Amino acid sequence: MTLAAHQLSKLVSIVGAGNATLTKEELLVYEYDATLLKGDPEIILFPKTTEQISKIMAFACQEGIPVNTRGAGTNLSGGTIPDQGGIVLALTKMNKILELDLANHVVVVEPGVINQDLQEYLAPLGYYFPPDPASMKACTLGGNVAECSGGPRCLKYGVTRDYVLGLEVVLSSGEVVILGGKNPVNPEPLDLVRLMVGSEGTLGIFTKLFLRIKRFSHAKETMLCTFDSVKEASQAVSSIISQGIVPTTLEMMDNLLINCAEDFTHIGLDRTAGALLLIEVDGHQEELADQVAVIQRVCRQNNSREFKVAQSTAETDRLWVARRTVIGAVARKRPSYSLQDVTVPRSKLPEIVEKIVNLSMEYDLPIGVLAHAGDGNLHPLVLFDERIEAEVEKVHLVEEKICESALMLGGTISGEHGIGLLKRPFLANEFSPEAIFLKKQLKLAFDPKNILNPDKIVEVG
Amino acid sequence: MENYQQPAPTDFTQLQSLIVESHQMGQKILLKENLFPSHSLPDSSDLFLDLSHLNHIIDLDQENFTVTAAGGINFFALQNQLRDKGFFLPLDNYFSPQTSLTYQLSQALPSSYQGKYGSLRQYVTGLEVILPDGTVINLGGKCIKNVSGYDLMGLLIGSKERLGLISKATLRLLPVPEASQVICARFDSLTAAVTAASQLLLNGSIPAKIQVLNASLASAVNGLVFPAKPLLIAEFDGFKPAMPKEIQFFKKIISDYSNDITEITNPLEIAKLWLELGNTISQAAAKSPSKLLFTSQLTDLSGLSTELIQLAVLEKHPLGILIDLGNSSGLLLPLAEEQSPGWDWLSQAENVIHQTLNCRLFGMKTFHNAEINHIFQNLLVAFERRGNIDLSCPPAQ
Repeated sequence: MTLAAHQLSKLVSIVGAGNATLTKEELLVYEYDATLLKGDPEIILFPKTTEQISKIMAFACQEGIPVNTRGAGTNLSGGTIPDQGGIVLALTKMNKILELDLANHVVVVEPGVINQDLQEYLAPLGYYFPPDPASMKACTLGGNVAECSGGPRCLKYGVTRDYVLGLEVVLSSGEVVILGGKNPVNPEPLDLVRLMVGSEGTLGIFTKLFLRIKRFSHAKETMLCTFDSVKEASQAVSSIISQGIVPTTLEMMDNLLINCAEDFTHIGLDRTAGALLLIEVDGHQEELADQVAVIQRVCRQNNSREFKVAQSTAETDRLWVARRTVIGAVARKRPSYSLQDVTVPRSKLPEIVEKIVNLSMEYDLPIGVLAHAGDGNLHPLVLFDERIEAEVEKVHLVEEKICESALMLGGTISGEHGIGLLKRPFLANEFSPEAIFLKKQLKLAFDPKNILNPDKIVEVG
Repeated sequence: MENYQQPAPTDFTQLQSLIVESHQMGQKILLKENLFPSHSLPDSSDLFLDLSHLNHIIDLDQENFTVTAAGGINFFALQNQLRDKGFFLPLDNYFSPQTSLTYQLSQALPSSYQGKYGSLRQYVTGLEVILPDGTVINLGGKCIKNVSGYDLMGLLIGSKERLGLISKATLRLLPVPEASQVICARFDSLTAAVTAASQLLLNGSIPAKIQVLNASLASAVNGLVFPAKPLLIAEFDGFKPAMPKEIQFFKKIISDYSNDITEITNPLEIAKLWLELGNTISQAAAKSPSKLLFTSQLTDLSGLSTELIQLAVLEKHPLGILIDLGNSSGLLLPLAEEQSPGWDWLSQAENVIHQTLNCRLFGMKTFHNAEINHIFQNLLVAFERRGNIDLSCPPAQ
């Protein structure tokens, strides 16, 4: 797609010259997201109102111009890559918290609000928004909704989809619609709100989000437990849940990542451990001591090395810093990484980890295993050097093999990062041709001209 | 109801054939349960599937805490079978004892456990669906997290057999809570009961279930030997050490409104209470198509209950009102077959609902927005596999 001068000038006129970018240097910044993929944007628009987006979409629809919506660009599946050119619609200037209704546990926000900013706004009031992706300091809530982001707290509290009550959406034609609202139950004939969540900017552009928030629990306990092997840690995960406990978080790191985290944070993690579990439970103070005791017993039965309970908020915070920064910390080992995202039934964790270890040896690439182990969601981190072409090719092969392995074990190719461009080739391995057909039809029902983030998730062009 | 065709397939192949035949004959397929709690009288040419023979648990995965079951299994029986094995499926509504798993998924009625445990859709991890032309599609599996493209499962759940028939489902389970306890409080007025319950929630209490019944409904429930007064029923569950604190907090908040409190700790009595309430509502619902199911916000429920009770008083024959504060929804239905001549309580009640900000009725057949309706029609075409969808511009508003 190459936009004509009159098209560019019309688009600039909608948002104003101060909210559009056309220079080559500035366009470069919007070529990529958190993957290795790159696109070719022709104009970046920073709308400030729903009305401006509606006008942009009406024009784009009339002219058949691709529109790639984007928040902070922390996407891990290539979902925001403008690979067919056209417009990049950056919603970072629509960043207001519009309404807080504590009594009904609802907050209404614009899509460009950063996840962490909402958390900091809510925390002094005793509330929080449960989805907590690792990129929460940078990622926007609009992006979270578009990708159906998860995070460590998902095991007990669910994913973004479970916290979106309503949406204001600009459709591909420019029409503005409200789906759902502030009520906890949506009585509409089909649940289009839920469908929109995780649709990766391909069905509509969210301009207002009605989000459900939660009150903080009375108390919580954070535990760290180390094991000789990932297999033993994985078995402990299943055992904890079978004891009737659903922890808030149940995170796992392997030896490679323990060392990366320790190199970066220096908090005294056991560098010789094969794996660690970071476990958190919440609820009434009275019930937590019993749960901690059960978890300790279960870990011991699964040959844990060391078990400790964080004794202060500061200690808890340090453990979480180690967990949240470990992805960035791997840069000390190799200059590039590819962060995978597959989910398997929890009982299959040891098997998939074994397969990943074998892949690491077979392709001679270091792979760290990070997992939201409680819900079977793994993030293998394949470390490499982007400048070495042969390594990049091997990384792509490993990505494919990891997806294959997950599917063979009854899993899915994406637990919380989405399909985008990166996983699109593998979608047909997970779904039958009939289901893929329905997904394509669904896309076309909302976007008949295929201009909204075209050909992401499924190729219809 | 004998005028309606109610075939009862004994296996999935028969079910598939029935669906294909009906589709070819242009016959609408509905579940048999629609003959009872429906919002309107069904068309006699429709086919009402009785799935009661497809009623088995296919796989109970004790390690992964999932169950896969055939759609015809009675929802209440499924929950009981799971509970006997130590698993908890925290989903429930008025029609659970009388309806199948497929009906529950097809209607997606709000769950009484929603406030604490979340909605129905959060517990469905996999579906097998038979499309109108007989094509079988499988979606999801046993994974808790899945964002592989568009959420077709979420779209099919609650689609009321319009997009396809759910023949099997895999559901996520929880462990049975260590302890549970019900506490009932009687009030002088429905508004006081709803206000008290709202205050409880606003102050941070998280009961597993919390419902308020008006006096007519409370006195109609078999086995409730309480005087005919508005009744608040709250169930708390969790770990034993936390229970006394929960109950103490309940009593503290509620004492401003009522001191007439009864505690039920026997699990059998708790189960019986909910079963009897469900049976009373289902039986009343089966007798009359005139009923209202609405959704609102917690802060609107108190005012709404005042208006509804004023309206109910005008009806000579008893009307039951149930407000479920766990999901901010409510139900209004006649408890006697007879209704006052010349007085249309249903229209009056609908007016009250429409005039209350944020309050909305269930049973909508279409969307308010023309473009969304156009999309909806296209989705129907896609799922019925009637060929290509209409890619033209939607009708103007």
